[in-house]
Amino acid sequence: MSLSKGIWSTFNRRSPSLALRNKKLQKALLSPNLPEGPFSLKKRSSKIRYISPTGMDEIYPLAYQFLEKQSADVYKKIENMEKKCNVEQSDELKRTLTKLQVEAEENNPEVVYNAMFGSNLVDRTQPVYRHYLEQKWKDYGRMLIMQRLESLAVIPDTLPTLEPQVEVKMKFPCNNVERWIEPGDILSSNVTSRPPMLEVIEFEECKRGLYTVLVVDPDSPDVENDSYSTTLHWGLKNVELSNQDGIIDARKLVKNPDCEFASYLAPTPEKNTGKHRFSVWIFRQKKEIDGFREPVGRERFDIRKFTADNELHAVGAHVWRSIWDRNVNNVRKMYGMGEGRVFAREKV
Amino acid sequence: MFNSFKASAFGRFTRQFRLSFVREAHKKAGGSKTHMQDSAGKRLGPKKHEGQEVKRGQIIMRQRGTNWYPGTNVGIGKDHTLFALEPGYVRYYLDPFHPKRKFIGIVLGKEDRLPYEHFAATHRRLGRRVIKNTVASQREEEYMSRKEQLIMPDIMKEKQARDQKRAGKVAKFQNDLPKFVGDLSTEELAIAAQRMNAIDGFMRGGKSLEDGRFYATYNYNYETDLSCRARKEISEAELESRKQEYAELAKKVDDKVMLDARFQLCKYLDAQQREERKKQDIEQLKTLIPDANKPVDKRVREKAMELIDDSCFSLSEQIHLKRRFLKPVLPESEELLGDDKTKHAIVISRMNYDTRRVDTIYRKKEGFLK
Amino acid sequence: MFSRSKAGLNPEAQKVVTQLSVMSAGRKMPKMLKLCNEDYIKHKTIMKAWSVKRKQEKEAEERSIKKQYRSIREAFEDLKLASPKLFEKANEHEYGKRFPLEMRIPTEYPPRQIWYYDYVPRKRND
Repeated sequence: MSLSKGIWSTFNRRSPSLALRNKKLQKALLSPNLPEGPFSLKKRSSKIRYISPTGMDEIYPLAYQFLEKQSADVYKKIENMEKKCNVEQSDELKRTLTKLQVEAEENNPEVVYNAMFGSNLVDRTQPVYRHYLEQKWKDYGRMLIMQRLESLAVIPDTLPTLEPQVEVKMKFPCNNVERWIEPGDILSSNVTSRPPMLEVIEFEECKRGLYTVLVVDPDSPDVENDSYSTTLHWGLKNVELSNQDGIIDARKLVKNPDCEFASYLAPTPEKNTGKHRFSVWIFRQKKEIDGFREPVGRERFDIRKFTADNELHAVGAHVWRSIWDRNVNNVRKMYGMGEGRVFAREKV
Repeated sequence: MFNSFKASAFGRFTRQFRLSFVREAHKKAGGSKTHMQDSAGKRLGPKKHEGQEVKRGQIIMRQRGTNWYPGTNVGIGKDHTLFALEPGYVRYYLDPFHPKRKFIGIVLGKEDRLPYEHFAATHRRLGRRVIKNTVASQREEEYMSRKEQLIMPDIMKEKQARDQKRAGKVAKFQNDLPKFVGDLSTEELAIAAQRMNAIDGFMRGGKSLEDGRFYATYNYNYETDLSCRARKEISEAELESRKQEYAELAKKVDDKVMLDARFQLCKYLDAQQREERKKQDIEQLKTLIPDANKPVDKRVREKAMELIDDSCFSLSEQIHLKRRFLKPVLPESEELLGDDKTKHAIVISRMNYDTRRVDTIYRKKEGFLK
Repeated sequence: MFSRSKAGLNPEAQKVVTQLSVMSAGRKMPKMLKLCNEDYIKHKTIMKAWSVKRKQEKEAEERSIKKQYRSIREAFEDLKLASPKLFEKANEHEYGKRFPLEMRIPTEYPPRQIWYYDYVPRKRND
């Protein structure tokens, strides 16, 4: 027996990912009360002790059917919109359509459950799940990355500013570090000795987008000018990403070796040069990049000029910091870089 | 007489610094003891003026409170003294982002203005020199802070233990691998043992077997790539041949051997074989333990454990099976309950919420797995 | 001259006051809902449905008021065209009648005082 008799129980037009996959959980959510007890509580003692709020079983069906009816109305609007979209294609219409698609499903209890408690596993092709993911990101992740970029002065030291549109996550699985790096973390040279894995979460619809990735260090010492210069540590172009697959990892790069235009150079800060900020920039490409007008050099890399020349639009960023440690010399040997310079401890 | 002198001498100042003489009105009549307490001037005020050249650490302003705020390349002391952090030229300026504050900053170039353009990269000075003397540079590189010095022996000890453990593991793999894979030369065996060790590490780190294998291969190839392209130790042709050899060896080993849920070497099973084995084992378990709510004897329990520990199951599946077939505590059925005369009974006190009394329950030993 | 409010209380009374204040603090703060995930979603659904319903009612009310206002306006426009004299008469300023007292924002319940029987408009001073 299920509460839903309308649009939320039919799946000929709706994606099956909008339903709960677990049948017992679905039954609990689609009945007025909890027929088999609270499924989400794991401990037996808490299951026994749990009592649902009084009166919920009477009101919940009413609320569910009311919202379901609203959703059905929105679906009618969507149908009209889709017909219009077939006749003429404009961004405005598409945006309204996505908005309606979100509106139709955002109150569906099953969708809300998936979005709240299964956040990373949701089907990102569905606008409603992307909407919830974006909401979550705006509440914390976006503020965090902007705070780190500003207080570490990654903006404006690398690029003037950033309007983040995608969430960027990073970890170093090649070195067995299976933890998402928080922006601004100080990592040891051992952890960063092999390239990271990035995850780019798009919140707009994206079936096949091309992206460029740059990792730069704006803190390389420039002794001649008594200043600092920027070094390019990793450069990827034409990386194909979509809503379902936003991962840039070793597997993808092994399959498409042409993506890498500047191979990964592990961070090896020299002694007494302070903390180096390694900023990861994600750019959306307008078109495929075949080659570069000028050869890309690592030393004295001008990221602003590079982005302007190639019409790159920054959509996301990440940052980690590295500092000289006792393993740096091993990493330098691994990359055939020779001994690093040693700077004086005191500033002059 | 005193008053008239004061009026003539300080009249001009009274008008300018009205605030500092406000206390005058509250002053008690002449002759009081508190009247004569006046401290010496604190020599506050600017020490360096607009455009003046300064060295690092020179004081620019002494003040009470932050009348002036530290701007670019300027630091602030505990008594709000402003001082130069970089050598350069002093600038007194206003910042539109903080409309109520006045700033003092240092620019590096003589003609520069403050504030710098908002979106431009910040002008920074390195201010450090490279130690050219090899002895001095080595000494500097080896320098340790006291904290580091104190902790270093422990770190080295841990590292040694870790290395030893790793070497032991590799040796064990080297010893065990021939049982599963025949015809491996000594060199191949060494590489294969290293590979198994890497996979073991990745799996302990939370990766699946497939991911572990992929990353072990990837890391080997990455290392070989570096030795060819970065270190120039081997030629391009040799690089290709080495990669090829490794891929062949990896395939040979992977087809024969894998790591089970407890990271032990076992015979490789592909997905289909694994499914079949799982089905068989569960069937056997069902025949062995038809009712999980009945106590089992030791022999049956050991047999069941053996079946559950089979390499086709993942760790979580093993735990699930254990919970399903070998319950740690059986339900309180009639034959498992005893009374106060039962030998080796396990006594449980439990609150009975209906009678609001604490019940004493005697359970037979068979009701528990251990 | 200065007196602290609680300084004069004897210890027993102070104890009672403290205990009572603790109890009332609990009443001021709504109890946190301890719900399992399913019930939490159900709770959210109910709250959402209620807010949607309220919003729809509010919008319907606003629409009807707007409609009323529009028809009044249209009627006046018609009157203005049909007979400017009558229109002026209808809009004429009446002495003492500033805002019709009997006109109020429509509410769901009658006012506490239904009618001001001794209502006299205030006289202008000039």
